Amino acid sequence: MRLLATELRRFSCRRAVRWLVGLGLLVALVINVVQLVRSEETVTYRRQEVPSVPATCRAGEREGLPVIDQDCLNREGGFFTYVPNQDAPTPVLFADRRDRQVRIGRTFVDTIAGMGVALSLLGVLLGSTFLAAEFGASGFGTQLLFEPRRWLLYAAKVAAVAVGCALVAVLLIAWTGLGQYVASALRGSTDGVDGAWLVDRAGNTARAAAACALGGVCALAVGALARRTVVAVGVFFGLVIATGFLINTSWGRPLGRNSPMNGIFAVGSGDFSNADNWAGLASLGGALLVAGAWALGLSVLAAWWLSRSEIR
Amino acid sequence: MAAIEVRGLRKSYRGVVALDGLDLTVPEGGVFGFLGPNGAGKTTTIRALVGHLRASGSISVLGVDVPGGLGSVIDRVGALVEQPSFFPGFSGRTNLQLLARSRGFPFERVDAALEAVGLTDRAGSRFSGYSLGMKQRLGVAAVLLKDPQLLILDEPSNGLDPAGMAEMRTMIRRVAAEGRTVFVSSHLLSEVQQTCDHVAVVARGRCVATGSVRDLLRGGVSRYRVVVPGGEPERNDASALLQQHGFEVYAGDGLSLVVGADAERAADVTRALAGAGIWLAELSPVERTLEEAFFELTRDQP
Repeated sequence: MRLLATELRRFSCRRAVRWLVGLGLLVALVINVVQLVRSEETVTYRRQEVPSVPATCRAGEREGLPVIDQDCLNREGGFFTYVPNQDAPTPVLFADRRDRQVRIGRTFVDTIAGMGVALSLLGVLLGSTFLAAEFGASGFGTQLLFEPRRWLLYAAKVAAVAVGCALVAVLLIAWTGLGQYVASALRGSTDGVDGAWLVDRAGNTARAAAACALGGVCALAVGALARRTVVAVGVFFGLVIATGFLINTSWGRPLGRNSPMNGIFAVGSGDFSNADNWAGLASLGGALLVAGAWALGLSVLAAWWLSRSEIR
Repeated sequence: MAAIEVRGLRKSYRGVVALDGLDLTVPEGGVFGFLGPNGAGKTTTIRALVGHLRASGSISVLGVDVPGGLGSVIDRVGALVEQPSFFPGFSGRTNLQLLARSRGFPFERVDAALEAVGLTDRAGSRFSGYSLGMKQRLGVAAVLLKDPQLLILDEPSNGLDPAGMAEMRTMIRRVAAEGRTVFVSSHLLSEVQQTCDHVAVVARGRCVATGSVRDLLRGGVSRYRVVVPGGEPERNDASALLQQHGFEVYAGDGLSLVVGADAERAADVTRALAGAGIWLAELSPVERTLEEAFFELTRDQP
């Protein structure tokens, strides 16, 4: 626990972590402010001459002309479902309603799904820089002078990256949710936000946090093997491209579907609906199994390699 | 029990032999100097001692086998290996606090260690902004953090100004006086001569000499300083007489003579002079400097 606390502190002290978290918080704030400003329901009127004025979907009069609610008309099946008369065309105003109100109760689940994928990539960045940056003249050798059991030290780093990435994910999602709630309360609607909703969103958040942590742990291992941040990041972004290619070929699909990035993205997005799509694993359990197996395998390999290699 | 015991240590890098069956025994207590020219294997040995690399042979540190048992004695071993490496984005204090936290040491030790190396004022600055000397001081502070029984210092004076080097000497002597063992590698022979009780000289991966500094300096003494009472005429008489007896004689400082003679023939010098009625005021061996000894020992190593 002492080593874990040390590594967590080391993780949180790093400028890369602070900058990336700060950037994430800022981006979320900006998006929420933009949503707040744009949150409104607008109506535009379009003049058109029609063969007859429908009896339903009338929404009063404007400038001496009857107003027809376009949304209502769409719901009812369209204008021409009404029997036209043969009279001369009649001018009417069609009312188009645009609803851009923030409704956290309805949209936050999609927000978390989108953030899950982004947080997976954030985890990759955080994990790959954590240990790779410590090789060479940056302190890993000095750490070994205080804890020479390399397996133990690496295990502490794995745990710290997993916990640290998960906490970062929870923080960013909570911050985004808070912003959306404020925007919804001020200029939108908070309908649907209740205890059950909170429990559901907590589950979504845990899933996204797990994706961020798994991304971090896998990238940490690759960073430990490569000992270069840029190589570790390059490997993962290369994997994204390779997975995208493989999954679209008949021969490479099993490989692509079971690649680490596909597993991690599936956990992050929570999209298990289509077995052929990008994040196409059939269930959360399956996705966690794929991503977890990669994280464990890469970690064991990295720890073994680290325990045998020469440290400068 | 020896503080460090190394037997038959071997290490090669792609066919280049760095350590060629090195044997070394560092007694407990005092300051032990580890000397050798560049590429002799000093740093490789130290890195093997602290488990940074694997070499064949056996290593025992404070009675436990290394690297397997290093974890059990690591709190009693402080080491500074090559250039001190710390995370560049953290301050000196944060770097030390993280190390202290990893061993459960109280943070008061961090402040004490920083003060001991004179870094308190700059402890809040980023490590990346430190000068070479400050980095070296922080490395030593990390060593002191553990309150170690054995200190392993690889070129601790690197980058230090003369005042810093004097402080380092004082610190090394002070911790040795507290009963700790200090194993220090250096290429600064004057530093070693002033600081160390025992030395080992390593060349081409092998230990070529080991013992107390005094023994090393006296080893192979072949010159004696001779002072006779009186002035220049007496000195010239003594010089001529000794030359008649087959000794090589050179002018020394002041009115002294330097006579070439090995230890067995030293008595012949007094006998020859006394036989002519010239009485000695002083006959003392002329010690070679550590630099001379070092070059003699490391020269022409196969």
